[in-house]
Amino acid sequence: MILAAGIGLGLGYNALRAQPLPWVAKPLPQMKSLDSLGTSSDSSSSLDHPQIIELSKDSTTSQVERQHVTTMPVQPTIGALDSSSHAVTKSAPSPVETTTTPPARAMDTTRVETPPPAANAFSDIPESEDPIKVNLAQTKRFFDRGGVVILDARDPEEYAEGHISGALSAPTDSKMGDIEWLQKMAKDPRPIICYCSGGDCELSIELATELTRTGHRRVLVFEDGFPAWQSAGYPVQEGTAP
Amino acid sequence: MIGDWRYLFRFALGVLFLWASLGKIADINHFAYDVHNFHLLPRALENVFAMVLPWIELVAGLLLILNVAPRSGVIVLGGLLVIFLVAIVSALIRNLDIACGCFGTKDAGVTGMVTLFRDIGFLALAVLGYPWRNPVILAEPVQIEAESPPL
Repeated sequence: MILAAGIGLGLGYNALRAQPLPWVAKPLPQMKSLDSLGTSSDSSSSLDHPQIIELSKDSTTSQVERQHVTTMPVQPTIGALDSSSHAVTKSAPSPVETTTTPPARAMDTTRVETPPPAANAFSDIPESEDPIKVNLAQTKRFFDRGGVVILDARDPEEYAEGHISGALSAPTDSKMGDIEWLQKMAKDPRPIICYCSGGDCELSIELATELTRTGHRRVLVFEDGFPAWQSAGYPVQEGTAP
Repeated sequence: MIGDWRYLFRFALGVLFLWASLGKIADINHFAYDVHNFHLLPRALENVFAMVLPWIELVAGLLLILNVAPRSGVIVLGGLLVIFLVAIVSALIRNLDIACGCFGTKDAGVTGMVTLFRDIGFLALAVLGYPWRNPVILAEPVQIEAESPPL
């Protein structure tokens, strides 16, 4: 009787919810790797983005350059959420530092107001309805190049213990149901890299899948996750600040 | 019946599960992900389990508080606690670094030994609160001497 009542109430309550939980959880997509999609992500020429280089050489602010000022710097834009404690990684490129736009202004730029990037800005990352796998080397290149949003899908406690420098805390458990946040991220023109603890951890895949379902078309998953990044000796940040 | 000291244990268990169920019902999506993280159920069953489990806890918890059908309530909640125990031990063995989700979003702690002992404590409440039937008290065997037949 208790079981029957519980089952009836549970199914009934779920059916009456504004956004009912699907009866069957959506399967995680079979992700393709960036290499298999025919984009030579290992090619430094496609990742270096001549526009950024030109930007650093030329201080005039053309329309194209303005777009890069506001869209390309990953870590500075990430720091927009907490600009006071932002730490720009040494390995990251310095387009912001060389532009005429003050860093503070770039940090104040909200994602929604950010104009779309140049058409070829992310040509090495194909648009896809499913997340795309990237390896450590590719992630490091995107990290160095800038212009991507890095999301840490682990719990806030793990994030505070150590995370990729500049990465935002986006715990899958809480962000999955945050429609407003998901829609905001979906409007962000920059590619998104999700990661968690590597190994069996699926948090990053789940978060990336939800982002693609919300509409974002350039979502990458760094499957090896934070342990591989840390082992490689790449920039790591402790604490709650990106 | 309410005067029964075992009711105190049942009441405590009922309140615990009522509290736990409300936390899960408040954010079923979150609880569904907690269930998924244990990797114990087929993916097709995870959401249904997440939908139904909190309500079973709620009904059983209310029954225990109201002292209605206490045996059924304790059996159901005790059974759930055994299932949780298996899940926690399984997560510990596999060294999963996941949230317990035992009390919904209010329970963000990682599944560990504290969770394990907490579950064992709740299980003890269920055992202590179970309204065992009064045992049949057997009288001391009386040596009945055969009456000597009347002479």
